[in-house]
Amino acid sequence: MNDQPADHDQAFESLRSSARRLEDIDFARNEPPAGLWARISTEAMPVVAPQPSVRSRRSLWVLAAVAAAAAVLVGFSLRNGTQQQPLAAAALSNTDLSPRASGSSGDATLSRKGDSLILHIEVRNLQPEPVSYFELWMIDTSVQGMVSLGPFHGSGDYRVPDGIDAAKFPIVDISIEPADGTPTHSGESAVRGTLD
Amino acid sequence: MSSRLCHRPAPSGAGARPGVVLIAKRTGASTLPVLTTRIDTHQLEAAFACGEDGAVKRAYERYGSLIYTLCRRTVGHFDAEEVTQDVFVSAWRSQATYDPSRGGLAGWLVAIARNRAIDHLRRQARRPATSMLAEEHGAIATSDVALVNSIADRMLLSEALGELEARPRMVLELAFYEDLTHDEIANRTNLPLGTVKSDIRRGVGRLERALGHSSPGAA
Repeated sequence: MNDQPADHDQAFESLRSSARRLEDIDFARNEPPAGLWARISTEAMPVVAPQPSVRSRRSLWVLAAVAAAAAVLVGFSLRNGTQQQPLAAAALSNTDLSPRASGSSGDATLSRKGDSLILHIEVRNLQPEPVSYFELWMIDTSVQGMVSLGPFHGSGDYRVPDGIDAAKFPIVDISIEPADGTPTHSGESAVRGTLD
Repeated sequence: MSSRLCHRPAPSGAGARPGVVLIAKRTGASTLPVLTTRIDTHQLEAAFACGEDGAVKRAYERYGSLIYTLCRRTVGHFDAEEVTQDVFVSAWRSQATYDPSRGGLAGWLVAIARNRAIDHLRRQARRPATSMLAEEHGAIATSDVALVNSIADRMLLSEALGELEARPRMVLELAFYEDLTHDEIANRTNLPLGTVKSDIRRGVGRLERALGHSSPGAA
């Protein structure tokens, strides 16, 4: 190594002594556990929508909706008896939503049952993933205000919180939520549709 | 960093130099497989630095086992998954701070991993006694930080050697491990002396770049 510049010699010698200290174990690799990438991408998934201001607006929405609710409920109860009556329906699809739920679809039907509004959901091909769960939402058309109907456990009836004006939140949305304790919408939706 | 050019590097044909294959056949070459080509590494690093879609996933596919193994050997089997997750989530969120002109992506990830591992060990307030290296070498007297850095340095160098193309790697290995002179390597491999010299010079440069990001400042 005699005709190289001095700094090259130094770098060479340093690397040689480091390389000679390497042992077989330094070249060995363990494959990471299956599913680890899914957890990484879930945790790091950028939140696109809704805006951060949604949380603060939500209480206002609830207050406003409570006032409106009485009139709505009166209207509903005048028109409907005690039988469950469909008020609106939506087809749910994955179009333009998370590729992780591609192929998922479903239907939503809003009905009145006694004093309550019930959102009946039927989903197809919605596959649960470890360390995340689904949550059911009703969202306004500006995608600013939203109401959580809680964790989504599969096809069935979900009660709209009392006092919520369903007509103001016509978008039915099922989100994929990382189990991280953050109460807001993750920004990643599996299926969505608009009641009409 | 802000003015970094984010164009997709053209997949140059320079990687398919037929001479490499011929020489490898003639000499028997290296027994360890070359994991990937240098051009792949360049493209991944450029895509990662530019925040291209899917680049973090590709980085994980490429370096997930390196980082996970490093974590296993430093924080132990049970916590390795959690720390690996932290490393890649952090890498994803700070993707824009990666600067390929300062060193390789493996070294950048290893730098994050060594910090996370040290943080984790400090939080746990325990030594990395469950790591294989500590058990094997009885490195009980070494501080946690020095031990993590040592493991990280060695694994990064092993990774960098694995990313060299077959011929420069073989030439460097003969110089490193068998103490051969340039002339002796040329005789042994039937390579021209000038090729041996340039392989060593460029190989040293590539190894130095690969280790560039990762200097812990100590050890």
